[in-house]
Amino acid sequence: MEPSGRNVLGIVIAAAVLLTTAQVLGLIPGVVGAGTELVATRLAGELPVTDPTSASWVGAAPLEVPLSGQTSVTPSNPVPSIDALEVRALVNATHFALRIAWDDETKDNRTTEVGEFRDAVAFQVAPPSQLPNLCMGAAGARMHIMQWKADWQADIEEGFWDLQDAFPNFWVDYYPYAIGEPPYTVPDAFPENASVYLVGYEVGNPFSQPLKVSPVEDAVADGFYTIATQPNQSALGRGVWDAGRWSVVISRLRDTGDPMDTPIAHGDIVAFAVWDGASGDVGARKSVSTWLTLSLGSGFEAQDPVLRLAAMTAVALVAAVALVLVWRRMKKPRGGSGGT
Amino acid sequence: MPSVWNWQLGRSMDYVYSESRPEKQVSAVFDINKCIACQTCTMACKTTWTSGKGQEYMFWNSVETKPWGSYPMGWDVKLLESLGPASWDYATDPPRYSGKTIFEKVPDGERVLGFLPEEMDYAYPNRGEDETSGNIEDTPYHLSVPQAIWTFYLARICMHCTYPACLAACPRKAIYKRKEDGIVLIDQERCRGYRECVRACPYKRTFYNHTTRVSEKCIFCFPAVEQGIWPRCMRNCIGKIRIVGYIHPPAESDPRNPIDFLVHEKGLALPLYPQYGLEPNIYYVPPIHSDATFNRQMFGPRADAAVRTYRRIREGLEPELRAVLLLCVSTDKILGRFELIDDPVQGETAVGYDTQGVEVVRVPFVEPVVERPFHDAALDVYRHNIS
Repeated sequence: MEPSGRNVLGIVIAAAVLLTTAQVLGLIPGVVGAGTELVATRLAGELPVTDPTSASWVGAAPLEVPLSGQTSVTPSNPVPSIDALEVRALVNATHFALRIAWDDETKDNRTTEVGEFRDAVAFQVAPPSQLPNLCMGAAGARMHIMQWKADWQADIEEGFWDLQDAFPNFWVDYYPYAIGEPPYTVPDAFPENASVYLVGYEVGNPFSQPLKVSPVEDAVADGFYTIATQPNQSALGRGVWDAGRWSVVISRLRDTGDPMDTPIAHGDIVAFAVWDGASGDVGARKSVSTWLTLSLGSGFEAQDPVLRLAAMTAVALVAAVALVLVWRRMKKPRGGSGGT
Repeated sequence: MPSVWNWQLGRSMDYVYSESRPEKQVSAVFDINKCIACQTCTMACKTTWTSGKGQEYMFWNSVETKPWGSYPMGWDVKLLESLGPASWDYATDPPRYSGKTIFEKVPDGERVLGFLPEEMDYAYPNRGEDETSGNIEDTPYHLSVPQAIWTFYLARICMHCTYPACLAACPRKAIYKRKEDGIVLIDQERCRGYRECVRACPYKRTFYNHTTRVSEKCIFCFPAVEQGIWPRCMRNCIGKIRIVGYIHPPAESDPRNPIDFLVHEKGLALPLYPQYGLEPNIYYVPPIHSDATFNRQMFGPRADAAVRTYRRIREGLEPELRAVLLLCVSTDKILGRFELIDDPVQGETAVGYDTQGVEVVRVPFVEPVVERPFHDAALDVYRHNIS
């Protein structure tokens, strides 16, 4: 067989079809139209899932993520309170971890008083096939959101910051059905009927629970107004504020098995939001990044077994058809050019 | 932004959501002239709903002395300053509001013109209590008629507005207005404590709970209302200043409905700061001895007429108004209809019916008086009271 222009063209077309199919199916890295890439560094051993000061972070490449004010919905935040984040990512066989750092002159980790708002940072992740709204996703484009909250961490590490902490001279002589003595700590002093007067706590609102497990809330959203705390909480994390700078780790099993969690895989799209409590940031009043593409390298592709089987079958079929076509073209005698 | 009809302004206005009036709308009328600031309403509410931890500073019902008192401090004057003077077009009847509401004079990126009170603003619920508007004049009896000095008590709860600012501002949609009775509630499971409602409510009737870290508000005692019973603050009112019922929009006003009669038919009861644009559903009989300009600032352009109407009751010229004011404070059942009849025995008598049309209260204009002899011969004792 001699190479000809038509043969080369056939091989190029077959290769292109093969490559595109594989990329669309997420089997090999592709160029997702999300701009900057967040590249995770592989680590053989354990990840520092709650330690932002670990030496392991030194080996992870820092990515500067510029932020803008949230202006998609009201109330908006036209001028970002925080200009940029420095993000580092680590991954191993089971876990994924981020360290997000930013300059913040004040440590705002109380939300007891009416004018107190927390510092917080959130990381949202979605499969690459979706093009959801930057904030909160959309109907049919579910967004998995993990938000670290400074006040939740303070409650865990220092004990629930309650009325007697915010107002040391406060006195009360009676709460209905409460047991014990002033200052009547929650939830111990408020069993049974007494807890009816702590309505948010009584109905199970996660924000009203004095005893928290993780400073990172694991949530889902299907669009604006819809963010909801997940029944199963699987995110870990911890923040350290030092000399006017927060360093916060948010981490998770790459695949938790929880159908509400987006498996963290190569090619996922991710975005960040940050809140500065001292600036009055809360809810939609936040600073946000654009979409980034998550690069974990080969071996960390989407692990959905059904999708993977379907994708491999499709690639095999496409490859087989392409090869047959090329083979037949190469075997075909060239009329008019030979002869004896 | 959708345009909705606000009858209190006499015009359409901008609102975050489309017009969606409830099937029924709870309402109340407070007669300021009868309030003595005893705070029994405040305590009735406090002991029922806000005696939990984190609610210490909260008064879903409060009574403040005007002109100086305010809870939270400056709730009214702060917003009045940022909204600017109210301007009404008196060429139309009723007058039409020609200024902007808090949904129309909105800063960029916001939904509502508002402000977040500071923590200490809640620390002075009795500030200005019983303080008058001026010094006692140098007269022999420290009095002059009409009074040169004035003061009055302003009892306040959530207005359960037709166009609630709290509901409009909540980015979580955690606040809802019940279709069956118009009561506005905060879903305690959905709230994430953003305090957008606290910032937005011009009457400052949503409160952030220090301990549960979500916001709470007056629930108009809906468990009682669902059974046709008045809310706690209303039932316990010592001065009997409060009347509870359901209100219709003016085009559907029922002249036999006590609230419609007071608000729409007679114009005696007026909304508080209608220029904010929320179409609040608690109405006030304005104080007849306070400054007329102050009254107009608080209750809108019809305040003067309401004061004149109230004086006519005292002159015996408004028997039906008298009937409603007597009747509705003589029961704790929500009335749907009233009648003024000429009873053959008791004379002029007011009769009240519940929302099912069942008679629940009957009050004569003049209570029968029986005089007994000073000496009771049967017991051979002398009576202290013979009537």
